[in-house]
Amino acid sequence: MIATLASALIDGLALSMLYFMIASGFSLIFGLEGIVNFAHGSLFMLGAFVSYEVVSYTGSFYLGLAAAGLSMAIIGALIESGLLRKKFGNEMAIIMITLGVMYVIHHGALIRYGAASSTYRKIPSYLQGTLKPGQLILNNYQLFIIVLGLIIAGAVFLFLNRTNVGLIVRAGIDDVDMARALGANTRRTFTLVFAIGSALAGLGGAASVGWIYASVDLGLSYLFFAFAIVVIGGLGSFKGTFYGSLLAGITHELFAYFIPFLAGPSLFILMAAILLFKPEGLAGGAKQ
Amino acid sequence: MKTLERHLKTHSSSLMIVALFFALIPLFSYFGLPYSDILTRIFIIAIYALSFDLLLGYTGLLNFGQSLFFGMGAYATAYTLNWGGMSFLIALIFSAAIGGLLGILLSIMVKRSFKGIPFTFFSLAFAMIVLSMYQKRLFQGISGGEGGLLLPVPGILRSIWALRVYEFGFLGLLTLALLFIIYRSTRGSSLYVRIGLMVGSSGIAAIVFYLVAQHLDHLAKAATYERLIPNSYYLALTVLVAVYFLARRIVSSPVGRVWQSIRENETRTGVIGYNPFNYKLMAVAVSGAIAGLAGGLYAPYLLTVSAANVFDPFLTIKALIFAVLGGLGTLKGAILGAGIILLLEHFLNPLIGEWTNILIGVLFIVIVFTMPRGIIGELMTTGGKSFREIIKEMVG
Amino acid sequence: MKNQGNPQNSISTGLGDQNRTMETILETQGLTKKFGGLTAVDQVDIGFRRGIITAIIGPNGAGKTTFFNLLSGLLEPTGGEIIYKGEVITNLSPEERSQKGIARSFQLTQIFPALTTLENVRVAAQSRGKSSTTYNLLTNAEKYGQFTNKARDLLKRVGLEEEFYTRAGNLTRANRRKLDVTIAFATDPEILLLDEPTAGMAMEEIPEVLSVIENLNREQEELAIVLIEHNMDIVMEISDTICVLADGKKLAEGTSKEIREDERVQQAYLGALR
Repeated sequence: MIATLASALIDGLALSMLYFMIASGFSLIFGLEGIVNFAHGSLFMLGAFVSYEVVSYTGSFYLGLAAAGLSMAIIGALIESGLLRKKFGNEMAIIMITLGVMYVIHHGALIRYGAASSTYRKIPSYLQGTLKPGQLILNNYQLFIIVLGLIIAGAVFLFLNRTNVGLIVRAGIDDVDMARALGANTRRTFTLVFAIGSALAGLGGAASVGWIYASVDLGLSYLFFAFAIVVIGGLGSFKGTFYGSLLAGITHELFAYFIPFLAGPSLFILMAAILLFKPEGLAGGAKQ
Repeated sequence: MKTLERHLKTHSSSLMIVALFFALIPLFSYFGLPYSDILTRIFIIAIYALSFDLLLGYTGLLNFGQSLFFGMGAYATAYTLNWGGMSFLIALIFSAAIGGLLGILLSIMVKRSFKGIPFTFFSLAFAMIVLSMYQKRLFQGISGGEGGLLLPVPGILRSIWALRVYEFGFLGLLTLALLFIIYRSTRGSSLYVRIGLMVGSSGIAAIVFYLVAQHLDHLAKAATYERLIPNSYYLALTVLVAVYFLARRIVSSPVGRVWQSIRENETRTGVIGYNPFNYKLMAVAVSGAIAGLAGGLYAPYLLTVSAANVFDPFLTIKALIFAVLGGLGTLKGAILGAGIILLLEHFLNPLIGEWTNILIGVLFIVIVFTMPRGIIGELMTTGGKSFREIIKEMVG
Repeated sequence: MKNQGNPQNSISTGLGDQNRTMETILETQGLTKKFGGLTAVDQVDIGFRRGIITAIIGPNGAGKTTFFNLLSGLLEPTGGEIIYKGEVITNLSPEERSQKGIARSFQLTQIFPALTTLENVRVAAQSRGKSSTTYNLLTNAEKYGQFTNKARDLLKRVGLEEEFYTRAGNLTRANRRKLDVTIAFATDPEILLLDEPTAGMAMEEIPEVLSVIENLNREQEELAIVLIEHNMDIVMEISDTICVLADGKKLAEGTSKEIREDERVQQAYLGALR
């Protein structure tokens, strides 16, 4: 019982970190620029496949992760500066464009990968197998995801709280005009944040491959997860996104271990509860 | 003759001609042009796209969970046909009702965040809750699991008699209506012209009716326990035309006008004395009912209803693409968009496969940049003038 | 207007015109609104009377627009009461207040940009229909000719007859402002709150808008008009009573002469201006 619970918690934490990696970028972009990036899930999926390809080709796991993050950052920056910037302020047009991008990426990936799902053929040996402290059995790879997620969360937190750009971003989340008043180059900041958010999604995707496999369907499911977590955490709140991810991931795995049929809907049940009783989300919601 | 021209230029007459054209399509399939089946699908999806436009284009609410209404409509029809053994017509009423009721439920749940992006978030959430239940094995009994629910072909879709009524009725009524228009609008021209026109059009009508009779004979020899493609075709066409005219009436009604003012400025709409919540609830419910109806029609078209094929989120995305491409807030645009894209898919898919969808996605992005009002929207407005302004200038 | 448009209104009151016109229609008691630590409106007691044009003046940030938002129900007060015709309406929604006869215009014009000018006013007039009309889904709205006619009449009176079919968003700024006031007036108000009806207008456009307001006042004797205005010349010219707000508090209230001579007002406001 204790052993199962521990496994459930570890898996839950790992899932939370994947959720966090997709949702934090989504939330940052939405909070700062008011953009609902429907292509965000596709970047997660694309990151997964980029990493898969690089790892298959070079055999280096960490190169795969880096390639996924970097390439998604570039794609994100291109989407922001090439397409979205021209329609800035036009909420509806932005939604349409990101939907179009998502549509293209999804079907492009279908051409290349079809319905198959793939996983890494080679990862470092210390990430395989399990740790067995006492009666517990812990998967190394899940532990790796947790560490990676925590490092990323810490880095983003430091970025937001310790850097100049972070200050501008936080100010911009409250009020874009205020960010301008700080003398910020809002355009460059927007592109930067979009790139960072996309990179996080790509990294998340890359990390997920070793556990839940890369498939085209990931794009849409993780977009919906990001939606749900942002609703649970509170629209536009970064802290809320973190807590929302934890709550959602752990709940999912607890259900998966103990009441399996509720695992799938658990995220959306959580969301329904939030919707009914606390529409502003866990963190109160900085922006409506 | 002048009056005839003017008559043809008016809305209803030209629409009637379009409808007549489509009414003739199944006859061509007799000559080896098998387009009725893809067109049936287009009509059904167009109804769905129309429900989407009604909500987004007129009230400004982007419901990202619209496929919930569509999917539940399809399931409602499957249930009524399977378990109740009731007629398809009753099933369709149930489908629309469930769509409307879910719309009301959604509105009540999102009451506190009933606009803009938050509504989009919450509507998707609402749909995902139901969808994720339908995907679970536990609910296989009601969802039919991965294989889906099989449903019997409703009588109206396999009866040759129904087809007779459709073909003769549809063509007959339309021909009569056109003869009547010609008769009415040529008043004043010489007797010979009038007689000539009447005889000529009656002759064409006679040829058409002869073809119909041949066509029906041909079909009667086919087995009658399967779905007859022309039956589905006519039913979908009829419902589409009816829904279109109903929707047009609704958007010009007092309620429809308030929807548009909510789209334009919700605060002001409240300050001039309307309760925005009530009107938004009506919009979501009406749109939900129409989406449910479309789902109900789609069920026997598919023959099996499963969570994967009726709750498909890409169907919602496509409906959005159709409505935007054709022009939001035009109703016709949603139908046109559905027609263009689905035909494009139909013809390009055998040639370039999945690349079709990439093409559609790129086309969509290009349209958003170059024709922000969509095809119909751009046709109707030039240089920021409204259609009515142009008409007014033309009239004097 | 009073005699042509709505004859029963003046007959059914049962009160003498004299009494009616001076009656207080809307008043606030200790009305307060706080935003966090900032008190935007602080313990304000004002009464507005029928047939009177009241101007609310005050320096920027004095809480004038917030005060209007409280009156029209767009904001919930932190404290105090709003009383309309003897009834407490503090907790009513904007639409309920509108239905009772409180109408307002906006400093940043709030119109329906993509609709025609005529439709902007028509939809406002339609709001006075019975609920069987306003909740009707199946009849063309044009069948209710009374609303279209009323909208045409009102637009003609403010000089917008050339613009019936113009997209409201394409109107000039002055015309948009006129339209904003006309929308408010189309709801048959008993009290009309005008938030800076001349803001952002060129000097030559101002008299036009003023004459619209003065006509409303003359033709509709029972209508109470409250306006927020920055331009002191306008205030002195058209208002019967002036109320001065500063830092959310009511500083003074009186005729233009009294206000001019009030020392506190001079210190707080006029002095700073001139």
